[in-house]
Amino acid sequence: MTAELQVLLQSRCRREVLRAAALLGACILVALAAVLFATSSRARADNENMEEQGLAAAAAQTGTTGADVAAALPQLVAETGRLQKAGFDKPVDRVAWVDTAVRALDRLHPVAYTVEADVARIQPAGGRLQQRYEEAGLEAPQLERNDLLLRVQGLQEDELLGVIEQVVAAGGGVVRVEHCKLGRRADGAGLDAECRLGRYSLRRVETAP
Amino acid sequence: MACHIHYLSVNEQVSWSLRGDQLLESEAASGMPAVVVLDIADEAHAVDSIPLVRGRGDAALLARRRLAREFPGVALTALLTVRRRPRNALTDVVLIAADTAARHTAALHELSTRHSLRGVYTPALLVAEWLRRAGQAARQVLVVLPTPAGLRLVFVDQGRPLLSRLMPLVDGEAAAVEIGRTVQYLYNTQRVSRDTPVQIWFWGMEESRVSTLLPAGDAYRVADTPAAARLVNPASDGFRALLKMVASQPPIDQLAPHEMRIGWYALLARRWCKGLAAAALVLGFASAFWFTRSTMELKSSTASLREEINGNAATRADIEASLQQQGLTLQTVLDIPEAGANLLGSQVQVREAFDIAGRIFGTHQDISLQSLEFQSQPMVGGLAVDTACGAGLDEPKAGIEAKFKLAENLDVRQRAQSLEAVRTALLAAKSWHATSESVALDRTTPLIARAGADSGSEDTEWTACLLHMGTGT
Repeated sequence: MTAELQVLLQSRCRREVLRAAALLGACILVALAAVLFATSSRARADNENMEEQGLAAAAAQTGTTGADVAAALPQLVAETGRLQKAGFDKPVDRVAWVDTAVRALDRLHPVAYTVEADVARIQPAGGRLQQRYEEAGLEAPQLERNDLLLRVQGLQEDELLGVIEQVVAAGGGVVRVEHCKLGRRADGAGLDAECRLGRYSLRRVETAP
Repeated sequence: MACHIHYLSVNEQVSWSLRGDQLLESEAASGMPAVVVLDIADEAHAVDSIPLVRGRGDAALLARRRLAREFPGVALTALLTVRRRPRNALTDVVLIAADTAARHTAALHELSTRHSLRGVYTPALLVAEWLRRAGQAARQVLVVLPTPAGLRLVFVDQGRPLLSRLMPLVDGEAAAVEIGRTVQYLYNTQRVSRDTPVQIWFWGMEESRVSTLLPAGDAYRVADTPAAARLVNPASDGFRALLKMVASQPPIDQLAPHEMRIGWYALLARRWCKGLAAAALVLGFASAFWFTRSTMELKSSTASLREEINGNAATRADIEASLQQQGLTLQTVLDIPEAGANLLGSQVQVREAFDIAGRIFGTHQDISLQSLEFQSQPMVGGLAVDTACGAGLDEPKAGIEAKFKLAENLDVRQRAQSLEAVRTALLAAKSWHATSESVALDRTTPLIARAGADSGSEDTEWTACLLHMGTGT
């Protein structure tokens, strides 16, 4: 084919062939221009669509699509009210909390006791709440935790559980018994107990959506 | 692409065009694709072997040189491969040349300038091509057919013409003698083996005429030409069948040099360019149409998505307005219950844990509970207290570690019964799961009895672990 092409390009027909080749080139350029225009329009539309999808996804991740919330709103409001009333969104009143524990223990006259309210610690909220904020690239609310350590000697098990329940109720927010150890005393007079209670409240971050 | 036919012989020049399946005499318009059928006596066929060359360029160069050496100064030549012999590194070829008279050469050049000359063919080339297209390439056959110039004898082997002779129109007897000589020539030049009769096909002749052309002797055998699908049978139509074939689909093997076929190459190049240009336009606009259509669909999807987002935003605004009246925000309503549920959901009441321990260890008189340790599953980032239950309580909601002793002075059997009672109670605990070490108790230690003091009198402290895996365990 190369020999044929060489002969052709040196011949009298060269001009006609070159004209045809130029036509081919022009048509290819026009076709490419059409394709480029169409693809760039498509790319722009793609970008717009992705932006919208991103907005929709972000809204879904932060649980703020109106449709999702509307159905569960009454229960959410009720639960929020209950937890707020318990003081879940407020810091602990350590003095009142320790005072309640001391008064409860004094009534039972144990051999000895210590009530120790630790300083507040900040920790992640965890669970779906944490995950929801992280997926949206936002800083999640945190939990403020206050520990109360009870060391009591010489109470019976029921008495001790009663004290713990009073301290839990007085803590406000959400209080969990994190750890509790009861041991038999050597003199047989009741039990030695060491219990740690954690009191949690939600600490809001101002940049929340 | 149908071509115009120019027939050139010593005596005449005729132009035909193919209309449907009819050949009509007509002059071709300038620039039309055309073929030339050259029916002259000065046609040479030389059988030879050349080195087997791989590579198209090298093979073409070798062919040109071989032809130039065999037929110096002849313009119309071709080298056709008969068979390849790789074992001997040779290719058997036939070198064909048509030595045209000056007036024919001038006519050919004039045709090549006026028309797009696709090729120059001889009747022998056309006969061989017909055999190949009819699937008869393996045959050795002598074809006898009348042409406008006379009676043409063509010997074809392996689909290649190895001999071609033109006899002027003479009477039957003289022609028969000439055919007989040709048969003899084929034997003498060993183109046909002597123990094989030469097969002769008569094309385009009546039976009566064929009978007058049969040579003397029995060195030949007249055979019928097999019919071939989609090809006009030359046995009945003769030379015109070959003309129709060359007009409708000209063979690749031909004699004209490149320079003579410039018009044809130009026509091909123009048609290819136009075809490709049209294809590029169609493809380009089709792609553009497809992209535009998918863009429209995407835009429509974007619009509906935007509508949905706006709808959600409106609903959200309504909700926020309604919550604001209650002194709340949407985030408060979402976050507080979720955080509360996260904390409370993993909680096990300490009273429940101590109750279950009391039920397990407080029912047997020989068992004395020494200590109880309760551990909740720590929150994320919270402090974990290691207990004998180990495992850091990642998965369980809570764990209880109980340490107990057995009463003193139990014999081996009483001791075993007491531990079995603990084991049974551990396994029966609802919602709580005893670890395998706890259930084993004394089964993993040797049972020892001593004279004067039972093993049960030892002050052994036992440990049992119970884990709360959540609801349903």
